[in-house]
Amino acid sequence: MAKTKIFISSVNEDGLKRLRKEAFDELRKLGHEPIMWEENLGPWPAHTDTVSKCLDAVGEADIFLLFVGSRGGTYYKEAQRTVTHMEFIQAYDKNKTLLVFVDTTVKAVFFGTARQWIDDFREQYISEAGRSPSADEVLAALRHHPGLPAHIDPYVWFLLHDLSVRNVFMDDLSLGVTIDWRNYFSDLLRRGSMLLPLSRSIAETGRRLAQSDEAFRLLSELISLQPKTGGTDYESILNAVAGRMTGGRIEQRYGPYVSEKVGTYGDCIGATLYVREGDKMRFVAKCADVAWNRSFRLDDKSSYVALTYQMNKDIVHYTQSKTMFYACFKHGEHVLTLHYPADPDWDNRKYITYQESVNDAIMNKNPYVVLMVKMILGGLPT
Amino acid sequence: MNVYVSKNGKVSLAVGEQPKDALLFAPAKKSATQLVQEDLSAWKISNSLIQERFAQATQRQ
Repeated sequence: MAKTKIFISSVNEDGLKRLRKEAFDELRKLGHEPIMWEENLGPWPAHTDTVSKCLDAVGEADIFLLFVGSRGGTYYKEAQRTVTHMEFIQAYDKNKTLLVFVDTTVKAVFFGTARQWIDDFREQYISEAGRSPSADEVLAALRHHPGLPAHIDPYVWFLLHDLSVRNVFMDDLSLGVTIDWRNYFSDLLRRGSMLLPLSRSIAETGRRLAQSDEAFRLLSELISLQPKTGGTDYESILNAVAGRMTGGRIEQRYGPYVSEKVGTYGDCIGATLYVREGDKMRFVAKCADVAWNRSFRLDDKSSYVALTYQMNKDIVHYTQSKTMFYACFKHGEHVLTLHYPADPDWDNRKYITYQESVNDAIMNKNPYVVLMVKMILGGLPT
Repeated sequence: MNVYVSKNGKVSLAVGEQPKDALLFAPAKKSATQLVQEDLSAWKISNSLIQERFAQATQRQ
């Protein structure tokens, strides 16, 4: 079973050495997999790029644990950041769980003085120079700040400011006081356990967002197709709609958990639109090379257009001889038909067995898009 | 759900073997409007749950 990998990061300063070692030992005893430079990471093999090695290890970890004391650490001029800071940026960028402990004295000075001072300095700098100050410039100004304790490396303020801008929570760290890791990780497990059952809800939300986005894009396109002189350019609308209706899998579902593929259907190859006039469905428009008639009688039982109008429902029709699904949407006096090729494995027997799966795949693929198309073609839903 | 067949100018339940040129169909259980309304309701409930849980899980005690 996979263990939780915890990257322990901090500046290598005397005050934090014991704390880091205690954390490493305790976390390992608790069954986790702590990673720390001086214990199990280190500059091996020879000629290793140590910064890259640390950043790679952060990328592989599940949790990034950072201790901040009074030292800033090794500053890389080219990066304008310390190694510890780069490790934090890597963890943040990779969406790791961040656990940050800051010395209580340092934290008090930061929130009492340094944070606001850096904010003011940056604002003034931008208004005068027209650009943000570099890290070197901020650090140079911090070094001359008379109100900040001289024994604390100015880079610490710069680092904490970055953490606060990113809304990272900073726990209290009292040097000399042992952190109860057992309780801390039990609480973390409790919090994580509250979120794990949300996975299905979050996945569903993602699906709905994608569908809404698709519907919004189609709606934008359809509105842009409306002629400025009035009237409706039905052929352009059908082209836009048909061009967005992709094929896909047809799946048989067994409850909400399991489904299996029973076939496929191809991208929409064309569309027709009819409107009722008296006892007939009159042809309005088509796109692509699909069959059409000038009109169908409403009682014509061989016409999927007339049948759909009479049944007053959205219906998928299938004919084996043409290996085609016809998705018919009724709205008001209109019937829109989208033509989808069925894969060659389909026949009448298979359609009768899996017709609910066919409906689900074609009609319910994106109801938001269908609703938008109906609204454009036939007015608001009734 | 029943599957219907249109052949020889008549519509009937599709029972047994059907000719290759027959038109088969089964009406959808719900319209797009119904599906969207149901989906939006489910979305609202789901979002409330997500927000509530995240608020609890990120609350510092």
